[in-house]
Parts: sequence; structure tokens; C-alpha cells
Amino acid sequence: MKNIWDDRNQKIDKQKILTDKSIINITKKQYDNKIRSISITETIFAFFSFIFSAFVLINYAKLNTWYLATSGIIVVLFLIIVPILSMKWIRALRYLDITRNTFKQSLFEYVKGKQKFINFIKTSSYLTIPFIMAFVLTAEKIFNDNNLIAENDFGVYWYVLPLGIIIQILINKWILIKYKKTINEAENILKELEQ
Amino acid sequence: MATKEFIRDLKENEGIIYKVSGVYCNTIEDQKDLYQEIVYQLWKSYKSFKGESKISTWIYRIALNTSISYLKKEKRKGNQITIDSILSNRMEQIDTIMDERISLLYEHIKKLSIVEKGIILLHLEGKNYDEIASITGFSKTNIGTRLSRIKLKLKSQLIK
Repeated sequence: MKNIWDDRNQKIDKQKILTDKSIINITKKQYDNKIRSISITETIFAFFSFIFSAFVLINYAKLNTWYLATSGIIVVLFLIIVPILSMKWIRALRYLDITRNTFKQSLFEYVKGKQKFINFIKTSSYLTIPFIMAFVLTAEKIFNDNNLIAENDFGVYWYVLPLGIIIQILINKWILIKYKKTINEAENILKELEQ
Repeated sequence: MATKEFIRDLKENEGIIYKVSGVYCNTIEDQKDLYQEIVYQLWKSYKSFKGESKISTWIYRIALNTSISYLKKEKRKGNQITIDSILSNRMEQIDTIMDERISLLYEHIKKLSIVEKGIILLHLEGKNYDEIASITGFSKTNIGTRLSRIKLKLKSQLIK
């Protein structure tokens, strides 16, 4: 096995891949690409969430009962905390401390990060229904000056709530399909690291 | 000045990047992609290299760590970039000189777990237990136990 590998090494060493120009090109291209990928994927969702939460805060005075004020706070907190945490987990996975960490530490941090991220998506999905309820209550008051609770007008929930339930079911199904393999792999790696 | 040193060190050790990316990727396209990512990460981290270890040890560490965050295909979709054409041609040239025995060995190494791949690669590269331990973070005894297990696994795969 070692002989085959050494023989191969000699061939690889003879065939130089990198030139000064290609090194400069690679570092420049990869750097540009990092900037692009961060700005597109991570900021769009956060941007709209922050805009709407700012809008709710500007119109907060319109939420003139304790339950409307509470629902406004729930909406704002959800729209601020979820994108921040989501960006935090994604960045933690993307930017492991590869200079200081050993292979074992990096692997451990990566796997733990994956598990935390999946748990975070799951938890967020459970909050979809309370969020939708608070969102409708808040939006109706701010946009239409309509206090759904005082006027006993819950008609809108007849189609909004089933929609919320469907969204939650879909997110959970998606997690199960998309991350089932990842969850199993993560568990196996952790077991292996502990051996 | 630092760029010159970086280029010199990188060119002297470029085989390491080729081998690490080869072990952790299943297709030549993925390998090229990971290869470029490792070069980028080395360039980014070069300032932090204080010469406390051999440059090759440091390159192995960065290359293996980069491979971890690069394992998932879906993660790479958003990060695809045009492969440098010179690099691409040269990597394909090397690929054509891969004979049957080494392809078979690579095939079996690729079936190992992430941890095992890293350890066997360092062992085949002639690193001693001390060096493997400092790169991977496992104890020397643990490396010994793992290596025996990996060798047994590879032997049984090769016999089949």
C-alpha cells in the first residue's frame, strides 16, 4: 500500500499544477465569490424581516391594548431574533477556525454546529403558528385599524391558520428529507470521535 | 514580500493539496473546487503561520480542516466559481497518469470515514505518530489504535 502511494507521489511531484499566476487568480476569484455568496443568501431574508419589524415599531402606538402590544412585541422579536440566529449558525458552520483548530476540533465543531442548526430550524417551525396569529392581529390593526379580538372578528384565521399548519408540516417534512442523512452522519461522526 | 513567500511555500507543497482534495472528493470537478478553496484558505491564513511547526504540517492541518466544511454537496452549489483553466488542465493531466493500482487504493480510501481518511492519508504520507497527533488532535495511542483498525479495514476491502 505504502509503495503504491509513494510511486504515485513521485508522479504527482513531477507534474506541477500551480503557477504564480494561477495562485493569484484562485485567491482573487475565491475572495470575490465569498463576498457575493454572503451578500445574497444571508441578507435578503434578514433585510425584509428588519424592515417589517421597524415598521411595526414605528406604528407601535397604534397597538393600544395589552394583547395587541404583546402580539406586536412577539412579531418584532420573531423577525429580529430568527434571522440573526439563522445567520449566526450559518456563519459558524462556514467559518470554522481552521488555523487554530486541530482536525478533531474542527470536525467536532462542524458536526455540533450542524445539529444545532437543524434543531434551530425545527424550533422555528414550531413557532410558525403563534407567529402567524400574532402577525395577523398586528397587521390588521396597523394597516386596517381593525382590532380582531375586540370586534370578535376571527374570520381571517379560518384560512390563515390552516396555511400556517401546512407551512409547519412542510418545513418539518423538508427537514426530515433534507437532513435525515446529515443527522445520521453527524451522530456517527460524534460516536467515532469519542472512540 | 509575503505573497512571494506564500507562492514559494505553496508551490513546494502543492502535492499535499492535490492528495487531500483527491481523498475527500468523488469527482474531478469537486476536487478542483476543493483544491481552489484550500489554496484560498491557505492564503487567508498564511499571516497566522508563525513557523512553530513545519510548513507542510501546517498545510495538512488547513487542508484537512477546509475539507470538513466542504463535505456537503449542497453547500457547494452556491459557491461554485469558474475553475482556473490552467489549473484545470494540469489536474486532468495528473488524473490520466493514475494507474489501476492507485485508483483501486483511492477507491477504498474513499470508502473510509472522514476521520479515517485523514489519518490514513497522513500515515501514507510518511508522517509519524507525533505529527499525525499534532495535526489531527487525537492522542498518539489513539492514532495507533485507529491506524491498526483502518489497515485491517483496507486489507479486507482489498481482498474482496
